[in-house]
Amino acid sequence: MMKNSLPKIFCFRLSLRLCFALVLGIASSGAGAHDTATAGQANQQHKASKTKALPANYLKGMAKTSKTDMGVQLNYAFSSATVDQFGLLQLTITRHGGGADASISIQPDAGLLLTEGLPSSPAPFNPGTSYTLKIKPTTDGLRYLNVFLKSGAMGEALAIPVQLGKDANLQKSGTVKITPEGQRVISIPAQ
Amino acid sequence: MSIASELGTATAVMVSGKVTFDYVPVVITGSTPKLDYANSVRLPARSIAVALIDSATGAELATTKTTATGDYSLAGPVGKSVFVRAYAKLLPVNTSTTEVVSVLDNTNNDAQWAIDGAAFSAVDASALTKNLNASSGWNGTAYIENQRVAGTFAILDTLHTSMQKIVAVDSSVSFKKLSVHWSPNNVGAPGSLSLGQIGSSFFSATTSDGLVTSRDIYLRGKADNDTDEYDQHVVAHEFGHYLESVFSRDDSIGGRHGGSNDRLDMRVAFSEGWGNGWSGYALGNKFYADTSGASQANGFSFDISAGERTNPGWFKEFSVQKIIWDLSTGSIGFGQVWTVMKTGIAASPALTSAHSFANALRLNLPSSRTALDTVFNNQNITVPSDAYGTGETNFGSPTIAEINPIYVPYGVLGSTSNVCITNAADTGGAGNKLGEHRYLKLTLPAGTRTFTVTRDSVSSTAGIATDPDFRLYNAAGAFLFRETSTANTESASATLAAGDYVLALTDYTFRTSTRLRRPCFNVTVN
Repeated sequence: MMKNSLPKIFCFRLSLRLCFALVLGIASSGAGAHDTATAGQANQQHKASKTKALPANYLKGMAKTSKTDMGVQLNYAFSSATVDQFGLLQLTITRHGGGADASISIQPDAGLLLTEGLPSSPAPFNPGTSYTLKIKPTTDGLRYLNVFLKSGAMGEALAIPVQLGKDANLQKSGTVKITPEGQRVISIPAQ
Repeated sequence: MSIASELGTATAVMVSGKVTFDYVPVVITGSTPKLDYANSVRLPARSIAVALIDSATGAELATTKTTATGDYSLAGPVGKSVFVRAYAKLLPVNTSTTEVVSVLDNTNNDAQWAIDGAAFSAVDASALTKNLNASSGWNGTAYIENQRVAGTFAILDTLHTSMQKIVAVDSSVSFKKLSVHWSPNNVGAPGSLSLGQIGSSFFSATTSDGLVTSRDIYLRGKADNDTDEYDQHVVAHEFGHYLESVFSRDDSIGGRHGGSNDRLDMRVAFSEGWGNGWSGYALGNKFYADTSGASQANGFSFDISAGERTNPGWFKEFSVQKIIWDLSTGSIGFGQVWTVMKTGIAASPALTSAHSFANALRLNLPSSRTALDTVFNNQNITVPSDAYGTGETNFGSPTIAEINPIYVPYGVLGSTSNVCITNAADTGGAGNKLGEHRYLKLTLPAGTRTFTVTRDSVSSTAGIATDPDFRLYNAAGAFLFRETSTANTESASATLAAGDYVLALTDYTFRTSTRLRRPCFNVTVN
């Protein structure tokens, strides 16, 4: 089987595998699962969970720094929740290549409540650090936990997707107008 | 065609005005950049497509492009409701170009971004003035998302500036079509492009049967996370990859780069270093800045001209960016850099690297050897005697013995070369670090040739599985890819003209396991 048998896409500033995942339109967000976390699970917050096996209904994903030399990778698994019910997100941070001490802070989008988060904000971390976060969505749609990483003078943002319901309910700007030629135009009033 | 006949009316009115956009500058405090909303200014939208639209039908009645000062003039009908639309579409900046750059929303079926003026109806032929400004949407504390459109014009402004730098040294240059995809939904999460999950901002060229079918730049836009529309260096960096794609040759395999003492595969180091160095030159600003965070008030910046401070060399992105900056802004000049990027770097099968670049400069500028040595030696890079890096003595610190020499000369047809590779410089399974790829230089007679790579179990690290892959290059770049999942061996055939080729060999398991190992392979060509 050809590993790289997709149409040839040359991507820069992101990994080849991510490139191919993007070509395929593979979503790593947690759409579809609706299990509700138990109180017992919620109590796992801040505990290292490197050896804990995740339930099958956890949806996994990964994001990593690409703009800076921090070499940080976030692996996350989300036990998706329904609106107004808690879900757990297990977050493991790995780092390649060393560098200055690093810290992480997390800010949820509107529509997501981070009811139990990091032990501090920002929180220093070492490679292999794991956290269990408790999240309460208040609306359906695709929301993000905005993750901010700092290491020395470097700062970079990543995002962890949290999908509630079937629709992403993306931000729509302006009004889409279809021209007589069939072109879609996002029309925003000029000042 | 006269205005009246073009409109099909007996009476026409001249509608003129200026198109501008809110430009938010970046200010750097210490090394932390932020978007400085307090000092936003309105800048002219240059070479932008403008149309007069029939309010009733949406049809374009007249089209033009803005001048260097953002001005436009259109002929319109009297007594009909119309409005002026400015598209986030950059029309040719010089006379040689016919293709355009469009800014599209990848989360909205690639709809074209635009701003529309208010509808009006001319009562007579008296000239009218209709100015349009694209708003940043910033209300002092946050974006009003349905007003946030100026960034799309800011992106085009950066590209306009960048293109003019090329035109200044190459007036007949012809830019090819480029689509820039920007959305307030674009975010640093992997996933679906249509959801805005673009990962990092990036450039991609899509090919089919060896021909490029599209060139695309994706940029982040999610407020309070990471927005790139006003980060000019980020935009110019990605445009640098576009320039390589259209006019030059780029053998970069992509992948993660950066990290402490990150010793990169030379193809990656050159491509990313070019992007950074070029962005600084294009913008006349050596401080690369990338804002992010709440209110776009954080991020990172670095001095492009500072170079690599830790173990510089031909495998370091920061070394290459300093060289590009020093050459472009120094006595050599960007004209020579551009000439070499367009022609010299693709004069042989040698892979795109600091060495192939330096060698082409050396050949073009025999009287400037001292200046070239100064620039390259500053980053511990030898100006080689050929495009293959002959004469280089820096193999990293810690040294990676497997990359010396940089190219292994392959013997006569039918012989076997034994080569070893290592992931000693790769702690994270990136697969694009120094030593993970081995290059063989081959001189082959014409005919159908079969390339076979087989694991050498005697020399390889014991107990490891291997998955060799290889690519074959000529002066146009890679043309034969053999990258299957077959364990321990790989083979492919091609009918070739007589001449020189380069075979680049790697082990895919470097990307699937971080265990330190040193696989070896026998390479045979029949």
